[in-house]
Amino acid sequence: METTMNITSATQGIDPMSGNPSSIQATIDGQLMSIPLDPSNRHYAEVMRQVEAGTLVVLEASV
Amino acid sequence: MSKARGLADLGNVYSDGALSNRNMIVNGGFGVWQRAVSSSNLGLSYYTADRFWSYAGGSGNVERSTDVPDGFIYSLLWNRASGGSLGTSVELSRQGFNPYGMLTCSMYLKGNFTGTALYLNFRNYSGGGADSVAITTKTDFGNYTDWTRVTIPVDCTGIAAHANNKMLNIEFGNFPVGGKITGLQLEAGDQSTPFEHRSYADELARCQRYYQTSNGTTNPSIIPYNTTTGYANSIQLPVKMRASPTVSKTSGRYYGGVWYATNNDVFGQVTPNAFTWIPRGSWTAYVPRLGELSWTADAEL
Repeated sequence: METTMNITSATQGIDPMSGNPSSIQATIDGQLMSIPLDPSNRHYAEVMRQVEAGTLVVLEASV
Repeated sequence: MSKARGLADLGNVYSDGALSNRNMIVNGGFGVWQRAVSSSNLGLSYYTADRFWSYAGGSGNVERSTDVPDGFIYSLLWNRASGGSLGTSVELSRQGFNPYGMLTCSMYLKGNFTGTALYLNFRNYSGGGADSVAITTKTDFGNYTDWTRVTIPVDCTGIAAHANNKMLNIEFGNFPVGGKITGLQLEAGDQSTPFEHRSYADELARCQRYYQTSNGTTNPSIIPYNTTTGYANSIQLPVKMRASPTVSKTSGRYYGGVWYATNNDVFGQVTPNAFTWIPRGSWTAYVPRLGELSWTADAEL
């Protein structure tokens, strides 16, 4: 299917022990999701597509 | 059909592919409904039967039905005020077959499908781009007042393999109001064979490669990392998933005399096999807590 995910927010998810990004916390179609940094994951692929298209910004975590 | 003809057909089928594991479609018998058995959601996503997405306007539900042809338990019913799109996909990289030959698609339909179109095409992952190769479009469906098996040859010969071809997409356009489907099968070769019924356990495990849910709650222990952040025991997934899944918390809380909800949780160490819940609360550092988490894990194509 041609995806049309409605992503209303995206923020880095930080692993507090390592301090490294471990995921993207995104609200997609009204649901909060924890998206792994895996190009084979369809949500991650769509986040990256929208970032490259300039329609979405992944915010840095405020930790 | 004579016995000689039956044996000849069986030989032909055998030449085209294995007699078991013929159906490339996961949950083609609509036996597994991990998300819900009915949904009124309109968006383009997965809501009801495992491995099947839907997209619709108007009101009503896409739901499970017990009106079935002989040998089946469930079908999918488009119980909405207007038609819409219904689809699924075959993951190509793990099927162990050559998709670039003759395939045969078959299904049981009931309802007025005269305005329905079926599209098959090789696709990239859904987030990654447009159609790469369209194979077949069928538009001559009928008005099936009783369950009718429809067979469609799918000629993929001559299609060059392409890096974009991660899945074979199967999509019904304008799936009709009141329409029902079950027994969807896609198999190698130019012969349609009887639907391959699989056990619920087998079909569920196949579905869990793409989607899993706690189906209630899990109770991992939480070890506080500091006074606001903890690490829970890794949650092992019963079936290795296609890719690292998107994890969603349905609900989460921890016990500290009474139950407290967790907030702003993240998930770490997410792999196709497991993930770790990193809940946020307020607790005394290093005093373990009992956690309670409901979750879903999504690695759909």
